[in-house]
Parts: sequence; C-alpha cells; structure tokens
Amino acid sequence: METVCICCPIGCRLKIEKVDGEVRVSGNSCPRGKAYGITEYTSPKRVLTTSVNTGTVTYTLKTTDAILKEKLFDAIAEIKKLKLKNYNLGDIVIKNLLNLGVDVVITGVLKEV
Amino acid sequence: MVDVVVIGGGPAGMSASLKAKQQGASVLLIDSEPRLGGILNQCIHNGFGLKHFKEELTGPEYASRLEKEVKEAGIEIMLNSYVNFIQKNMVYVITPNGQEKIDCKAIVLCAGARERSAGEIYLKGKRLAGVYTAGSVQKMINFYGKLPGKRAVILGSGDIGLIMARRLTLEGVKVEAVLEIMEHSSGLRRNIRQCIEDFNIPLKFSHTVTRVVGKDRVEGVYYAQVDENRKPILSTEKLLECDCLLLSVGLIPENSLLPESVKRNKFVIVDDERQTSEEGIFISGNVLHIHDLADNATEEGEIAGKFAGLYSQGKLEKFDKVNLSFSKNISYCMPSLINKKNEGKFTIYMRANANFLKKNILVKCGNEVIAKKFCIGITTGEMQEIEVEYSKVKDDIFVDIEE
Amino acid sequence: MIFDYVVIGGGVIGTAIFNKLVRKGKTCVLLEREPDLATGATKANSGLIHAGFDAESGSLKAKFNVRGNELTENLAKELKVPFKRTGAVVVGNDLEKLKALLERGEKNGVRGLEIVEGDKLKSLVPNLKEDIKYALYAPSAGLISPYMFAIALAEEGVINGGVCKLSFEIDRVEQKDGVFEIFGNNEVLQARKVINSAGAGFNEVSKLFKTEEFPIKFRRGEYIVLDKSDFVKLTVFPLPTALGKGILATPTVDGNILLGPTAEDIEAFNTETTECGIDKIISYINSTFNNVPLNKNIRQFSGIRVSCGEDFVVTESKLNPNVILIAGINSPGLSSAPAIAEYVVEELLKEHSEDKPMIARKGYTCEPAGKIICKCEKVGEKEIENAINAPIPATTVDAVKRRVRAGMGRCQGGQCMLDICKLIAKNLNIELEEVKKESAKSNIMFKGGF
Repeated sequence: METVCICCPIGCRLKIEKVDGEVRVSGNSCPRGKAYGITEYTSPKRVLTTSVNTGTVTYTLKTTDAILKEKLFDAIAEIKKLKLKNYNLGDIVIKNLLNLGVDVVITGVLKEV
Repeated sequence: MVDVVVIGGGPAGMSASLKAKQQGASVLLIDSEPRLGGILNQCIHNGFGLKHFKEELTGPEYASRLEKEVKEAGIEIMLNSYVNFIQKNMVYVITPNGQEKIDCKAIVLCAGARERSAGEIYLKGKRLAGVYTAGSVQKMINFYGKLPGKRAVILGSGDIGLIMARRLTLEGVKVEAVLEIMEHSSGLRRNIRQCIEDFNIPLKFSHTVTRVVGKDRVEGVYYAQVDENRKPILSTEKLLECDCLLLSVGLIPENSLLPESVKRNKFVIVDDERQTSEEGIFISGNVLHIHDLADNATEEGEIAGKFAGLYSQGKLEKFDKVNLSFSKNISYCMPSLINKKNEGKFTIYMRANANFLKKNILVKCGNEVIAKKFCIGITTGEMQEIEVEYSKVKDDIFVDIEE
Repeated sequence: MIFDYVVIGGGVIGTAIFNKLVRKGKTCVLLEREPDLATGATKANSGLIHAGFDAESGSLKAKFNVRGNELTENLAKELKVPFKRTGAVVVGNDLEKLKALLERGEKNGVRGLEIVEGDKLKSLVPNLKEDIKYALYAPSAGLISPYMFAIALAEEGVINGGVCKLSFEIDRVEQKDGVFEIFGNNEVLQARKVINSAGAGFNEVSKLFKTEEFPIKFRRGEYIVLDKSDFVKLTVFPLPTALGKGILATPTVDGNILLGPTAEDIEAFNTETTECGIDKIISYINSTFNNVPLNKNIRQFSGIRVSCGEDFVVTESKLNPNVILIAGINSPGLSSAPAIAEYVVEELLKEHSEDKPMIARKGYTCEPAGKIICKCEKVGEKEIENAINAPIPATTVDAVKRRVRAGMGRCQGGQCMLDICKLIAKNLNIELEEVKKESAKSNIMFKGGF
C-alpha cells in the first residue's frame, strides 16, 4: 500500500509491502516513519483529541498514545461522558480508556471561555 | 516606560517576549483575550512542537509551555487589552477600564491573522445562519461544545478546513464534502491523510460553491466545477443539501495597526531582523506572513524579539542592507532586505508558485551560488526554507528554484 | 387598554409614524413580526438622504423627499443618529439631460443645485474617469444609517410612552364598536386606528384588515460593501434610467463604501446575491472610476424594493376609514420617511397638536467601553450589553450588529460572532444554542451531539 506518513509535517510518501511475511516500509526519512508504516499496515492507530465544556471551564484532552482507528468514535463517546471538575493540565482523567491501553490526559484548562 | 511592547500573545508574541527579555530588556506583552496562547488554544489537535520542543504536542499544550516560560521570565502581561493605535515609541491600549498610553523603545507586532470571510470571496446566494469561517467553528466546538449543524460542507482545503473536517466528523456531524477551487490542496499532506481519507470524506478539487440557499438557515449549497480561470462551469452545477457551510479560504495578516508609513509590497517589508521600514517597529508571526506551523511562527518571533530587545537598549548594530529578489517560480520570500553582517547565518523562507519535483533552491549573489538546497518535492502549500551565511552576502541576492 | 393607534411594520416608515404619534401624545403600539426592527427594505438600501431632484415633479415622491430631506437632519441630531450632509453628484456627458435634472430639481424645491465640470468636478470626485465631463451637484444630499435611524425613532417612541412588540405575528383581526382587536402571540391588542406600513408584507396585513390589496412588484438591488476608505467622499450617481437611479458609489455614514444597486425585477421576494449582479456592479464601477479599492471588498447584500405603480401610496383606506395604507415605498423612501410620518399624522390622521418635548435616548456608546469584542470596529463589551439591554432590546446577532456595528468590519464577525452570542445568551439568560442570527429560526449553533 501507499500512504502518507503523519508523524510530522513533512508528510513522507510511504510505500508499505509485505515481503516474505515481513512488513517493509520505504520512502520514510526517519525511524518514526518506519514504525508508523508498520502499524498503519497492520492495525492503523490515531491519537484522539477532543474537548469537554463544563459550562464555566473547558478542558481539552488527548489520548496519551494512538488508539485503534476503528475505536475513535467509541472513545470519544466515552470521553464525552466525563463530568470534569477541578482538574489541571497533565491530569489523567481516564485510565486505560476502553481497555485500549492508553490514558486520557488534560491538555488544556480554559477558564472564562 | 518599558523597553519593548509585544502586541499579541500567540506563539510569535510569547517567543518574541522571551527573546527580548533575554537581551536584558524590560518587556510588556499585551493580548486582547483573557489568556495567552492565541489561536493555539482552540487548536486542540496534536502535531505541534516537533521542531521547537522536539516533542509532539497539542495546541493548548504548546501554548502553556511557552506561557510558563513567559511567566517564569518575569515578563509583564496585560490581558483583555486591545491595542488601538501605535506609533514610534508609543502604544495606545484600550483596557476594560479605559484607555492607556504606554511609552516604549521598541514594538513587536505579533497580532496574527484573520480568516478570509464570505464577503471577501464574493460568496453568492443568501447570507444565512450556518455560514461560518472554519476557525469560528473550531472555537464553537472546542471552547463551547456546540455544533454548527448536522451536515456540513467545507469550502477550501487549507489546514484549518481539513482539521475541521475531522473534528466535525468525530463530533457526529456528517461532512458531505470538502470543496477546493484549486487543483490541489494548500494543506499539509498528512492532514489530507488523517483528516479526510481516514473518514472517507469526499474531497473535490477544482470545485467551488456557487450559491448558498435556504430560508432562515443554510439548507443547501450549489456547487460546480471551475474552469482554468477558476470560474464555475454552470452546466456542472449541483445542489448539495447541508445545514452549514464552513469557509477555509485563507488567512489574511491582521496588520492594520501598522502606521501608514510602514513600507509594504505584497507583505510588510522587513529585513532579516524583522524590523520594518519604521525603525523600532518589528513584526513577526502570521501578522507578517502565514506560517504552516506554530513552530515556525515561534522561530520568527524569536528573531523579532531578539533584535527588538537589542534595539531598545541601543545595542543593535547598523549595517548596510541588500535587497532580496526572486524568480517567477516563487510567490514570495521572507525577508526582503538583508543586513550585510560578517558572521552567522540567516534563513530565507519562501513559498513556491507551483509544485516541483526534485529541484534545487538556489540563492545567488551576482553569478555566485551562495546557498543551495536539494528538495525532493516542493508544493505551493508548504513553506520552504534555506540557510545562508551572512559572510557570503556581498550584494543584492536572488532566489530561484531550478534543476 | 385601547390604543389610539397601532402601527404595523417596524421599518423606517412605521417607526417614523410611531415616533410622530408618540410626539403628539397619542397612545400607540408598534408591531413587528421579526425579532428586530428594520429587517426588510430598511436594512438593505443605499443609506442616502436624497436631495429630491430625481422624482417626477408634483409626485408624492418629490414632495416627501424634499420635505424629508429638510426634516432628517434635526431629527437625526435629536435621536443621536449620525447624519452627514455630504452632497451628491450625477455624472455624465449628456449635458442636456443633466440640465433637465437640475430644472426638475429646482421645480421640486431642491436648493443649491449646480452643474459642475473641470477642476470643481475633479475636486468633488477625484477618482472619476477623465472622460466623464459634467455633473449635477446637489449639496443637500446626505448619508444616514437607515436601520439605526429606524431603531432610534422607535426607541425614542418607547422611552416616551409608546409600546413596541417584536416577534409579533398577527393571527386574526376583529373590529367591534369601532375598535380593532388584534389577536396574536397569545394576546389581544385593542386599537382605534391602524397604519399598515408592513412593506413587503403589506398585502398580508391588508387581508387581515379587509382593506385594499395592491399588485406589488419586487425589484432586487445588489450591493458590494467595501471597508472604510476615502475612495469617494460624496454620492456619485450615473444618469438615471427607466430602471432607477443606476449603480452608484457612495460613502456610508460610517465611512464604508457602498457600490450598487443593480435593478432586477424578480417574481418573488428573494434576497440572494448573484454572479451576474455582482459582475455588473464591478464592471460599471470600473468603467466610471479609477483606483477602485475592490481589494477592500468585505460583503455583498441585496435589498428588495417593492413597488405598486410609479408613485408612493400614502392614503386612507376606502374600505375602512380607520386604516391608513402605505405601500410601494421604494426609493426615495428613507429620505421621505419623516415627511410621510408628518403627512400621515397631521394631514390624514388630523393630529394637529404641537409635538410634545421628548425624553432623549441614551444611545449605546460609553466610556470605558469595556473589553473590546469587535476588533475591526472597536466595539466594547459594555456597548454591546447596552444594546442588548436597551429599551428595545437587541436579541439577535444582527440586531446587535445594526446598533453598535460589532461584526460590520473587515472580518465580518469571523472573530467576534461567538463572543457576541455569549453576551446575548448571558444578558438574556438563555442558552448559547438559542441565540439567533436574525429571524426566529436562524439559530447560530446547536447542542453538541453526545
């Protein structure tokens, strides 16, 4: 398959193929691209970011690592259930989100929005 | 009295403040919003910071890193304050409690950009609720948790448009199409991949909206293919039902604060220190030219802040300047004047006029090539940069993209 | 209570009559079906107080325009509405036609008209193309914000005892013992006399009151708005044609530049802008002027001019003498508004008493203005809140915009629309998603889906 690396703004054009049972990545210009290419071929993952508005404060959040692409919508629905209060930047608000092995962390606290 | 006033607390303004402070100047940072960070606060997605912080961050995280540094550096901060008017050594501010005049020795303008509006692109049809700039929808969703509609069409495939296509989709809004009048996107490739292709959103190049229809709110848009002059081909016009239209049709530097006397061509004319033709007024970030990345705006803020800091203390050395010109392959270069210094390096930023494969960026001084960079792919959407040694700049320089 | 009068339609004609009736000490209620005043023809026209040379001598248009022009300046001053007597020129090379216009103007009672050329023309219109040689100069023409004029007229009326009901949809009307009973919005209003100044809705109102209906025609005029500049310092008309006064270039009282209108007869009320209309304006303006700052283009809009015949209709109903009919108020309707009000109140309704002294309206500006919300037009939070909490409250984004210009600048609300929504929601104690742009169903945003 051919795709574009999303690890950084360069956006390397990757060619990924399976040769003799091994996933090979070409077109990448760094090791992160190679790792991305392999994951993308086998089980694509994405970092999820979203926000939760509590009326007075808005918390912005992200998953601590990429999660399976097909779980993005389940994950956001789960995060939207949160009733957040008195959290700070960097606080973890969900541990092991939907058993995906990643946490949800506060990336921003916007007061007086 | 303060040495340097920095106007705008986004990435460029915060980094400019930090660098000015590092030169020993006293710094006042003014922002019109209740918090620092500027537009970064509403850019909740990740992808920031790889260049500046060597780490992938979301917009708010990037902002708070810089904010922390600003606060630790002891920079004076004035929030909710709108700069009404500037002149040499003087800044007039409207605060919530009234007007204030601030004396200073140097000014760094980092006021960012605004989004091009429906009127500016002559969007035809009705002027209804449901037509918004992509950035205001970004704020609507990310700050207030509200949605612009249930079925969206996005006009323009710049990065904000692409990011919003994903954001709307994740929030349960169906993105019916992203329409782009050009033959290609001006957004980053990775955003096409992760924001459009990931969610199978139709992205139609060479298409534009011809009419907005509806009674009280948007009920649909007519769209059509465009010809080589970007004029709609009416025989291809179709109706697309939707209840909101997002515009991601470009950013415009918000430089109206600069005095009339500041020289401009397509952009404000600055030298490599980001000083304008008016001594003591510096400018950086999106208010100067539109950056692809907050990291680049940060870098430019550092340049402007550093030299404004030095200038404010009478420590800025004066040099003769040379002009920088460029070929027709290039739409613009920044900066357009270079100080003839003896040591160190500077960076030229540029945008190409077309897409190129495997070309060199060349910087020439007379017939001599003084810098050269090989690029596998150059696109109109991506800013290119090349480093040049000051010592090689003897006379006016010329930038080109060629074999 | 039984009101002396009910005025239906909150455009500049209805508000001017409402204001005049309150001045006469009458009890009066103004009804408007939209959430704000001035949302029909009043919000979308050239914003000119014409001198009065254009209308056919002897017509109502000529009479009301010239008189209205005289009345507007003082009225605007009293109401604290900006008015500028900047003058107007009609430019062209057909000297005979210009002279004919001058003669007509003088016959209509317009003062100060003269034919200008050469340096004088150049100094009046520096950006006029050199091949255009002559102009009729009318120094008495002026500029006003049409919607602000209407809003202020109504607001002053309310401060002095009048009643204004917005979002008032009339369901039905009965007449008992010489008193009208007007049913709508779960209430019944009683009034002795009715003024139908409903503009494009005239016939709908006439149906309710069983009075005359007129064949109403719609003519659309598209405009381009430019950001503030000194491209033209006074209104520049081409020579008039059968379709109207032609495409003009004018400053607005707020300093923007307005180009337009086109003139297109359309079947039904439709305020779309079109490719063809906008192209027509651009090509005409480029053929008439040098240095057109089209790069400062910030908005386009279209306004609908209704007509029923050549002249205005301002008359008592023949079917019901307690109803005053006002229809077909196209250009120069804005310029005529105070004169139409004077005529209706004093001549038709025979309210001859002296105008009573009025309590002045405050306006919305204040110092300090609070945090700047609209950065392009420099509008402060407190000014926006003043508009929202005014005697006639601004409850929509467009209503705020008309009153304090927040969102009228180069970014057209891109940066401040949400802040304005927030202020409306906070001051009216409603949810953000209930805030409207203009009409009752024009919600700006919705609740998140989760």
